[in-house]
Amino acid sequence: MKEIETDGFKFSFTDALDAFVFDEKDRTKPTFHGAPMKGVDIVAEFEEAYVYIELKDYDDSSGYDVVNTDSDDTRAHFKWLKNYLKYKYRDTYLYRHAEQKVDKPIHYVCLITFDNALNSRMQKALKRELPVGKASPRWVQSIATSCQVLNINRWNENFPKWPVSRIA
Amino acid sequence: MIDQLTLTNFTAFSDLDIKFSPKINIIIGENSTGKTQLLKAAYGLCNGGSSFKEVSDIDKEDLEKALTGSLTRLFMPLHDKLGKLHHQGASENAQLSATFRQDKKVHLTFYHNSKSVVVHESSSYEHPLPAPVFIPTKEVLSLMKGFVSLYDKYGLSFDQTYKDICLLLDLPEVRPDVLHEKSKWAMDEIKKVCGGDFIFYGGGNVTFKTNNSEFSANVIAEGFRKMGMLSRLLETGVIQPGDTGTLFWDEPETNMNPILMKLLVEILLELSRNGQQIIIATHDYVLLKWFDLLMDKDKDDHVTFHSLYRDPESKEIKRASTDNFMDISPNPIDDAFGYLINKEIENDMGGLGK
Repeated sequence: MKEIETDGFKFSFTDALDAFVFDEKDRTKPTFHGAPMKGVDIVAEFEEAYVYIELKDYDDSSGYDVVNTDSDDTRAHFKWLKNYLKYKYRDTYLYRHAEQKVDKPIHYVCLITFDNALNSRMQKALKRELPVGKASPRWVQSIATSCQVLNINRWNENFPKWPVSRIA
Repeated sequence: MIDQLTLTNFTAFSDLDIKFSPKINIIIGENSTGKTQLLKAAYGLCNGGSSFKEVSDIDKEDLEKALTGSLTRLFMPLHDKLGKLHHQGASENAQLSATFRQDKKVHLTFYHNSKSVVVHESSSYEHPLPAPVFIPTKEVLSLMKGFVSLYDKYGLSFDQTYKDICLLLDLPEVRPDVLHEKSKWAMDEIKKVCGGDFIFYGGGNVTFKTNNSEFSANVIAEGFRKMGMLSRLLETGVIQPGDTGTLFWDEPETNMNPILMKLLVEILLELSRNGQQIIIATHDYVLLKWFDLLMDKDKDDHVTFHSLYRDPESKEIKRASTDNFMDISPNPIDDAFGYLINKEIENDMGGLGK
């Protein structure tokens, strides 16, 4: 059992080999990040895979909405968030490559407090740009096996071995 | 304007109480949770009072006869028997009660073998209520030629809402100087997006006219025909914000593309800002979300979301209402997207985390 508290959420990874705050800012900790790169919030390791986890807690999601595609502001907000999530993943992958820790499939799971419809749209865009799978015939391996974007309810429904709750 | 509705042992409902916003109400729920039935019950009771506009001394018997006829024509129960609208398996009588603006009230009951409703309370109800409008799921511009005559002669298998809307659409237009400025604005916007006007010649004869041609209404996109219905109801003053009764609209999204949906919501919000109460039933995320995005609290907009759901234990239909889009629960419309997310995770991640 690995328990992690970060950014207002508490995770319990009941079957993890390891799990830690990846973008650790505390120099005294062995998991201190310490490189001029972006990083996801949590990395968890399991027998068969690594899972990168990024958290985004919004009180008001209207600036990002799924149907308002003719608003420049909304498009800009959506694009900003998509790029933010994308580059966090890529930098984390590079960092882990330098650690020689990219030897298993990697799943990217973004926990975002949007509704399911907006999360679905973000997942579709992010999956294409991350990219998931082999993006070129020249690639012999992918940099991401899958990408999911979901809210807390959906997380707890899909990952009963990794329950998450808000820290009061 | 209807403030509150209580349905007990009536059709799908064993006990349902709903308080309406004076502005916008959006009813969601899975199939067979009674959205259309709720709309029709509220419409039937709103309509009951307005049907006595011309009569000065109404007795209880007239009122009971009118309400019995209204309910059977709206719900079309088996063999046209009122008693078939009694909630199956209920031992107590069916009860419908509603309160309206200006302290108007009505409370009626019937049993499974009743031929007529019994009105127990009708405070000020017999005095005219502003007439409500019910726009049914299917558009009618393509079928309204001769519809009312055929309906009366042959008893077509359409409920009363279809006849009512055809009659309203065939009313003559009001004088332009009487039209509400927001009605004119909405009609102009609809004309722009449709690229022309629907022309009503009477007797249900409807065409569509652009700058240089005239077409049969049947060849025009169904979504445009729906917007054309709204435009016509404004043109005839049937919907006159601030003056007319509640607007009920069952699944406005049917056959409407998402671009039309934004305009529709802008119009409905503008009408509500000018005193029009609106009650909508929908299955559509885009429609729901446009209300959330376009409502403006600085303009005193008010949208109440009512979710109908079947209680997992009692199997009875319950209601949960909220003014906050993110707090709608249960929300079968967003859950549908959630099921897609679940399936994607199952496909991509297999048993991880499970």
